[in-house]
Amino acid sequence: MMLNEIKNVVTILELEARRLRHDYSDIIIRSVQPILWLVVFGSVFTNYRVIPTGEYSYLEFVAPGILGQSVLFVSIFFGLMLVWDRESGNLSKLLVSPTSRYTIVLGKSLSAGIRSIAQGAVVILLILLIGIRFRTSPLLVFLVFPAIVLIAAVSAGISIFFTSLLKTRERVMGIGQVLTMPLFFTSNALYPISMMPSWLQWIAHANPITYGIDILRSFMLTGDLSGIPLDLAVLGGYLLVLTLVNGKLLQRIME
Amino acid sequence: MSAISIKNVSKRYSNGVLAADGVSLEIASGEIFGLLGPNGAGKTTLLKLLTTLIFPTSGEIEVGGFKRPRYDHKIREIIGYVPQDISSDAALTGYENILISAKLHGIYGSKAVEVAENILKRIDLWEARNRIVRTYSGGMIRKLEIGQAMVHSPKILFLDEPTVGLDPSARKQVWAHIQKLHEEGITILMTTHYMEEADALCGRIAMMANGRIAVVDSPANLKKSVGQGCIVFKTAGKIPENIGVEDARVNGDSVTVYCCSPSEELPRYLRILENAGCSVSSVEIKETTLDDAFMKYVGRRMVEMEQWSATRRIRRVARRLE
Repeated sequence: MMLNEIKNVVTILELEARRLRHDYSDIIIRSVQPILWLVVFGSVFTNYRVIPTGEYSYLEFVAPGILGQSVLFVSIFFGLMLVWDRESGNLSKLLVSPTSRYTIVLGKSLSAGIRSIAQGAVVILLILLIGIRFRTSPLLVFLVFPAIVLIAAVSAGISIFFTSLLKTRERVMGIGQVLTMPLFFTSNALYPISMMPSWLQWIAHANPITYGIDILRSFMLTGDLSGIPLDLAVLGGYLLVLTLVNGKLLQRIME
Repeated sequence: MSAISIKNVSKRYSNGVLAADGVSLEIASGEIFGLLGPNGAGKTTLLKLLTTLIFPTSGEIEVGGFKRPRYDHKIREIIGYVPQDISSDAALTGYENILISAKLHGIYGSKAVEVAENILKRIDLWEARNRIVRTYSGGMIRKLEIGQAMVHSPKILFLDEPTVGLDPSARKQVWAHIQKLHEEGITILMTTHYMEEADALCGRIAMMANGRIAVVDSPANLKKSVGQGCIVFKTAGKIPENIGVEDARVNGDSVTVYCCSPSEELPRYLRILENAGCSVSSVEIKETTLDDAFMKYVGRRMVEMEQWSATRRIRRVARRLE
């Protein structure tokens, strides 16, 4: 039973990998935004040193944040697509197969990770091209990829959650913006949490993206792994709860 | 044994719409059964109730001998479902679509490849197997979707508007394919709002409107219950007083004759009229249609009952299938 469900998750991931292989144009298109953040925003802030980032340049500090942002953007829209047309034939076909609702939700969330790995690889390449160097070991930089999958799965889970509450196509249209921007700006992607006013610090500590970017920054920049267990626990907790809740909601959106 | 048994089932959606209103229905194993009604009649809702997608508000449902909702997981193992909206992945090839469907039904490895290849040959898509589905025609997509629903050799197949948006020749192909599956002994429950389709394919049909079933019978019986068809002869010149046909109605330059099977009796009446000195310039045959039967049992014509929202959905599907 359990083994079958794991196999089903793998099948749903295979579906996404095959999709990506046939058409990766959106990965290229989506690279424009990180280029702007790094080349324009990052460069300006590096020159003027407005944000205190200690021994690192602002560009070095913000690069993991921009990587996290790319993953967030891909995944939010990914989850949205899954439920925005609740009567979509694709979804009903999955629901009629002998695959549990929770497996479908988990599989789809992790599928966002497949797409995000490709997106992440492009962004990392861009970061290197711009001339930012990672100060940690190659092994840690490689571990960025599993971290990306976790961040992507949580982000997709969040978007599945909100989308399934809204139900209709028309209402769902704007939700992508309403979700991504707050998650991005209330995280530690662009500035350290210590710079935030205390009310914002509270929000930042509840925001799962903060923990995701903390992992990326540890692996790419500081090499300090002391915060990783907490990061993993928070993200893992979010993924577990979102999967359980979304599995229930998936039934509701069909009604 | 009945393949499907529905007892007094109602479904009220959270927005208050009563989409199924005390529906009862028995469908025997091996039947090809049609739900006929205008868009918005509740056909898709009934299909979703049977395919475990939604839960009934009240009533009992059994599919393949398994009761809902306790045995939903068992039901999912023995049914295939082709939704109205496109369910194949347009970004993958036909082969990949079937392969993934097989894996989702617990068929892996070389067995999955074997199943996919067999099905592609059976649905005549072998040549096109490595093409991206986005490049398929509407008819090819529908056949692929039916193929995907067949990977686990289901006992019961549910088809929701299988030919909506297809051109006439593609429609004929899909019909032939459904007919073939029927001959293999699979129970088929399909919805349609095309009367010709119900007439051509289904052994029995249920006419639905406003969430209720108005009548269940074979297309032939339903048409017979409405009465006769007629032939209208348009004539050039004078129509003689006595044309030798009982029951004929003369109206201006046309003669209308009522009979049971107009197309077969046309030659005989034509001879009689010509012998009586009529010169017939054109002939119009009006067979009794299922729409006439629909009029009798529901009280309105099907086209009058189309709902805007449902029509919009259908158009959307049709556009995607083009």
